[in-house]
Amino acid sequence: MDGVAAEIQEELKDIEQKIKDLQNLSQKDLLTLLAHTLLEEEKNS
Amino acid sequence: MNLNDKNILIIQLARSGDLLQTAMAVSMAQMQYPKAKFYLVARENFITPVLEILDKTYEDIITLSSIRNLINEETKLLDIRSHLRDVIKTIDSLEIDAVFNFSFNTPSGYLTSLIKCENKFGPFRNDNNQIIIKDTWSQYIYSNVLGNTVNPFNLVDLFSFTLGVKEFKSVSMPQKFGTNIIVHPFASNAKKRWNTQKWINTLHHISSEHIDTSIFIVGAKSDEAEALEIANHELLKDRSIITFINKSSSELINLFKECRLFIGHDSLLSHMAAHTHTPSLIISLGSVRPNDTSPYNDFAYNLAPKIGCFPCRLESPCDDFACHEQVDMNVVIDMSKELFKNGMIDDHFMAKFQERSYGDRINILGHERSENGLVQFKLNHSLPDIKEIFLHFYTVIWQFYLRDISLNVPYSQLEPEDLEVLYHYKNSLMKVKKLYQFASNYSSELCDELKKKDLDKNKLNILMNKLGEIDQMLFTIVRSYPFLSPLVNFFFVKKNNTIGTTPQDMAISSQLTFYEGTHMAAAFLELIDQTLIYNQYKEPGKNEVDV
Repeated sequence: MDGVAAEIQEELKDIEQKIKDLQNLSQKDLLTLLAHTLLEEEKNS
Repeated sequence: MNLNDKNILIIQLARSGDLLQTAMAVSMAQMQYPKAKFYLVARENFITPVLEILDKTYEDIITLSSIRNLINEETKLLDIRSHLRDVIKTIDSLEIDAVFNFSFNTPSGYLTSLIKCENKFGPFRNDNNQIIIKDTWSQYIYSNVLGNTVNPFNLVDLFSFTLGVKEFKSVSMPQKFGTNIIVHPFASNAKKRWNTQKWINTLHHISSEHIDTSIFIVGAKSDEAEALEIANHELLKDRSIITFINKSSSELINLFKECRLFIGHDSLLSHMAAHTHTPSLIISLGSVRPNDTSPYNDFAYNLAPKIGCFPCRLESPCDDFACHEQVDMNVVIDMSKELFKNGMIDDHFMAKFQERSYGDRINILGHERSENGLVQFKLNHSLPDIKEIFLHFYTVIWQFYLRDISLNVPYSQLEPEDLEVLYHYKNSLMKVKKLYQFASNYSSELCDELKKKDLDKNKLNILMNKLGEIDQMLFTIVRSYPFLSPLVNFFFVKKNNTIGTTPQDMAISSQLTFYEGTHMAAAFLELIDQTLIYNQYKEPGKNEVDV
């Protein structure tokens, strides 16, 4: 779990930078965001 | 969009109760679009408790596995992405014509973005991670249901409207001949439910009234210990209290078919009671919003505390659960007796209710299916309070604006102090209307500037800043006059999702949105004015009452 969470956090940094730079997000980025937000929802439910 | 002959994907990643409400809306859409194929994507753990019902509703169900369960010591993010990519591939292979995201949560927005489909309803993300909502009903849900308490529509109707359902049939409830009572004393959060002891005391009295009746306590596996604590309690030891835990939806439906009354909090079970047309008594507490999430059931009655903080936000801290105390167990006992006997609450019961000590602490809300969807109404013999009067107003203006339906709602008598409040709202609404007029004019100027060959960037900036200032002023008004927030929030969301690919098109669309906002505010003002006149309210500074 920790390994995946760390990987997600690392990729989120790159995604945030892309958003700041107004770069388009790739399908891979959207899949990472989907995985991240699903995990967050599962933690909260 | 005509959905007949189309492949339609419904995204519902929320809990089992939401899946049932969504399935009800889809069933209505199926009557209108008999040749359409409806598919569902939902989360594994929320599908299981209602699988049999969902199987009957949808062509196929695409399951989103629990991400937690996919993770072990060797799992990489790559593997999770691969699983999610497979889900998307499965969806894309269905050649979906329209996607409806009914979850409105963050993951469902990303999921919607990843699906190949031209027609997307509900929120999704664009390439820059911004939330986009193209359709008007979803703009309404986003701006008015999430976090707002003045919404006159049931969630099932909102989903139906989004799916384009036009005709709502008034369904009379079949007489229930069962003898049992089903009780669901649990909810997903402590705020939304009574404590165990209160339920034990209540069931003690109810079982004394119905000595030959079996009371089934239903719940999930996680509720088992508490269900047994209730059933085995000293006060209930000689009674027929049966625990019915962790059962499938078909077992529950069969049990509901044999039952005469359901009592519980707002939860999956209350929607299952609606599915089987069972008379229901719903104790709405904490963050439950009875306007939106009440079961879609003619014979469901909600007990709603009158305390000011109800309904609260789920995340807001609460130490004393004051709304729980507002709902006296005696009202539940009395209403259970009446519903068990007659299947409904009538005026005679309400007259007696008003005389009881608990009568002024609770609103009893009834429901009726009409040609415009489910109508919720207060049964108490009392004048509407200010929130209720705004709910009436919004019923009229949204039905007109969003559905082109003109409703004839009689004007209400109000308490003098509420007339004062209404008068102040009138003045603030006039300011809102004026601000929309200004915004419409600035958008028009913006459009003219954008047409010019040599753009005056300074002027464009000035106009954009003015539009930004108007947004700020509107939200300042709403902070003091919260019942105006549905109107202001809706047009804010609509304006931010303007249609068009060029800046000029977007400016025109923005101008039209503010123009519509001006007219909505004018219609709203007319309703307030007429209510004040009906009540012969003498406005400060006016010498005579308009009659």
